[in-house]
Amino acid sequence: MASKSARMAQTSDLTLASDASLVVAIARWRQGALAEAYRRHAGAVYALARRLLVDHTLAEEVVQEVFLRIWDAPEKFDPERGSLRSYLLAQCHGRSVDLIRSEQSRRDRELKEHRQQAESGYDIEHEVWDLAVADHIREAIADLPVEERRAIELAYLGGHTYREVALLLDQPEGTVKSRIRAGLRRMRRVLADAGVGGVS
Amino acid sequence: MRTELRHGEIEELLGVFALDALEPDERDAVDQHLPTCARCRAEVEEHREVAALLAHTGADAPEGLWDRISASLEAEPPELHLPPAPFLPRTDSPVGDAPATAFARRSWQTRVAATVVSAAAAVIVVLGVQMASQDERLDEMAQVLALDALERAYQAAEGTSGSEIVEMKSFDGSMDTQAVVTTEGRGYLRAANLPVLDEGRTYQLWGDTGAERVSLGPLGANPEVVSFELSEQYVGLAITEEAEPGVIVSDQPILAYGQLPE
Repeated sequence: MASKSARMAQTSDLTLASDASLVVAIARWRQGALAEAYRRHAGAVYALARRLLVDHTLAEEVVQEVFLRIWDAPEKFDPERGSLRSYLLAQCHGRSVDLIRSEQSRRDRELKEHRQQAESGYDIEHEVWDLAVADHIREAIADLPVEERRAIELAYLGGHTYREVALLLDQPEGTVKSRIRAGLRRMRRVLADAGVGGVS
Repeated sequence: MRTELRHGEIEELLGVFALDALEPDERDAVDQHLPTCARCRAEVEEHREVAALLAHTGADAPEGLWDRISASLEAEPPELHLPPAPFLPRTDSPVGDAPATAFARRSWQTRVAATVVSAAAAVIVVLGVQMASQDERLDEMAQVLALDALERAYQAAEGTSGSEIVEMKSFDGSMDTQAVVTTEGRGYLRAANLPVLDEGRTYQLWGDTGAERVSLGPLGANPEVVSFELSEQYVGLAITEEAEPGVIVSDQPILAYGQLPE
């Protein structure tokens, strides 16, 4: 087992490595690489899990599971398909949503809360504050028609299925489906034009 | 419940799929479709990149969480793909259904306390197994990435305007496989349905000029997706079986042949 100082030295060597290189190092069982991936991305992963699950203990369990999964099966991450951050967040989102949907009573309660939120015009702008990209993301969000914005917010940050979103927004299911896809594409165009990392 | 969806219907679901907001039956349909369609996979990844930015808060994870993760890494040895050594029986495990990897290490630790000699032997075996396991894990990762890249390249070529599919069949119709060739002279052969050859044998791909066969390269005994270069002189593609590592001139019968587009 590596000593603490050796692990710290390993970690410091990895701070300049790309995310893809980190995953290769993880495949070589280098814990320092996992520590560096955690340092870079765990905050966002935890925030998403906490947002979806509310309960901090459950959120921490999901974060733990996400990082253990990349440790156990690094080959499932393909750097050509997307960034490590989006991969980890997708894993986190999928797992959190599974947990939400396995608790029907909790879900019903949150549906009510989100219905109130949807009615009061809750805005995903408040979820974004990273200084480096926040302006561009706000701009991309501002470009969205309000219906697309709310549909994406309820589906992604609320963890609802599109049928639930349709119910919450009192819109046809097909319309919600189309609006989510159109909204994501619209945001991507704006972000790509702004040169925001990870979207090209 | 309907699960068979047309491509257009699947495309409509991709945004919702990327946000994990589909109902289970539709999610299954998309899950089944994605491995066969590079375009839809790319769209899902694009949506996820955008969603990842929405989730980005820049806050820190709770203190102590990393310690718990790293502690659980130290508690478990790397996953062992090879069977434990005969003197490290899994039956030492106190719980029959527990993960083999975790208890394989505990049984090794028990044996360390028993005798110095067996401990030294166990160290050698476990280290050997773990190194083999690491090599295997890296090989698996490299293979998956390489194969996946070729499969995606095949699908991308298939979806590129002007590309042509070449159906390659044996003369008796018992064997068939497919290639795609692009207008730029790049070809991809999807050869996974060719039977696995015996050790020391290889499939070989040939360009047929009408007058002779020119080697485009050996394919190995169990090819999946391979890429090759083409020039205008070829009128067809042929596959033969040869002794490894392949030959310059073949007198072997053609196993499958496909005519190239003019």
